[in-house]
Amino acid sequence: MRRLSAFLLVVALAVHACAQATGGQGSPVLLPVDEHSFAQIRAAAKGKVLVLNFWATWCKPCLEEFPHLVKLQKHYEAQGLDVMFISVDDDDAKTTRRVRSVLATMGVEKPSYLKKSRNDEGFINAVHPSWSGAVPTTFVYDRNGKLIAMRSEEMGFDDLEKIVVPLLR
Amino acid sequence: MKKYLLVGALVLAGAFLLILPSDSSVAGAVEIGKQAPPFTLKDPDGKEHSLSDFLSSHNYTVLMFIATQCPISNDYNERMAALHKDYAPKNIAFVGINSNKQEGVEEIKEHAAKNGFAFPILKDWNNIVADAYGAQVTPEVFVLDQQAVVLYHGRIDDARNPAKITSHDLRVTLDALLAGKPVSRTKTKAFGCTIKRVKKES
Repeated sequence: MRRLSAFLLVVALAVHACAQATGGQGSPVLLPVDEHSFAQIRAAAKGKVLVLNFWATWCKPCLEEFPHLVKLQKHYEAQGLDVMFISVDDDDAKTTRRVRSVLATMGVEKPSYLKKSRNDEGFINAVHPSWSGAVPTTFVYDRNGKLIAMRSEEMGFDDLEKIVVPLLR
Repeated sequence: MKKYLLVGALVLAGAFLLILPSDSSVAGAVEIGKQAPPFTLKDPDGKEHSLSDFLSSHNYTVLMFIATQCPISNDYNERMAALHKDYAPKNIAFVGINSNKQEGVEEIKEHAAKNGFAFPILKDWNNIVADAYGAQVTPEVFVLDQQAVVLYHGRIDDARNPAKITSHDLRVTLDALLAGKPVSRTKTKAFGCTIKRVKKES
């Protein structure tokens, strides 16, 4: 199961890299992630400033801050920023369609992730042991992969810029 | 010179604070086995309730941080009402606490009536109690003994959809306590809505 999970993630990261190279045209790509494969998402972003946003379709504040994160990506992508969205929604077909629909509406062109784990607590702890599981939560890592900020609250564009911009210099 | 040193130190301290991961659950969180802080809050009718009143008249007290607008918390409305119905006769107190800044007392009152909550819901203006307990999510529960010692902190169960529950954590905890057995899992986590806090001046 872990091998399959690792294989899927390698494929996912290849798609991610390909989509980035091509500018990510088309409908949003949604990739699975679980407690085993999460670390590889972070590892793949090494060398970039990584903003990881955990959200859900049922979470109103998440949807309200979404445009700020999309804008942040567009503003600072060329300087080495990578904003990734990880949905913690259930992964049934109906909900997955809803997740894709939100991503498309928000104009997310890059591949995003959907939690695919039967062990929510294991997933939460794999992301960070101090994370309560509350959404929205945004994690910011520097270019070396060091955690710089973890915010369990709705963030505005200015809030995000304050944390991210110094790391891009 | 001293002035410049002080300014420099403040700038450094500011920079240090900026880069520290921010998670208020770490700073204010109560710990398992330690005493939880006391509080007095009002219900939507303006009646004051103190934690000590619940503790002294019950064997155990369950504090439930809940919301009126959070879809996850609302998924637990029936389960919370059922828990109260099942365990209140066993001398366990249930207390709802609403710390969300945007949810007022009238809304809380209507929500409680609509969902048949027979336990008090207390309004935690300025999220003082949520901060003192380190509560982050709705729903999130704390189980206390008569001395306010925290015996369990975390989720009610492990699935938003009742059909998918594999671990009835709160029921298991309460059953163990009533049977005089140790609590097998004292801390658990689940996805939920953030508690919408009042932003503090820094």
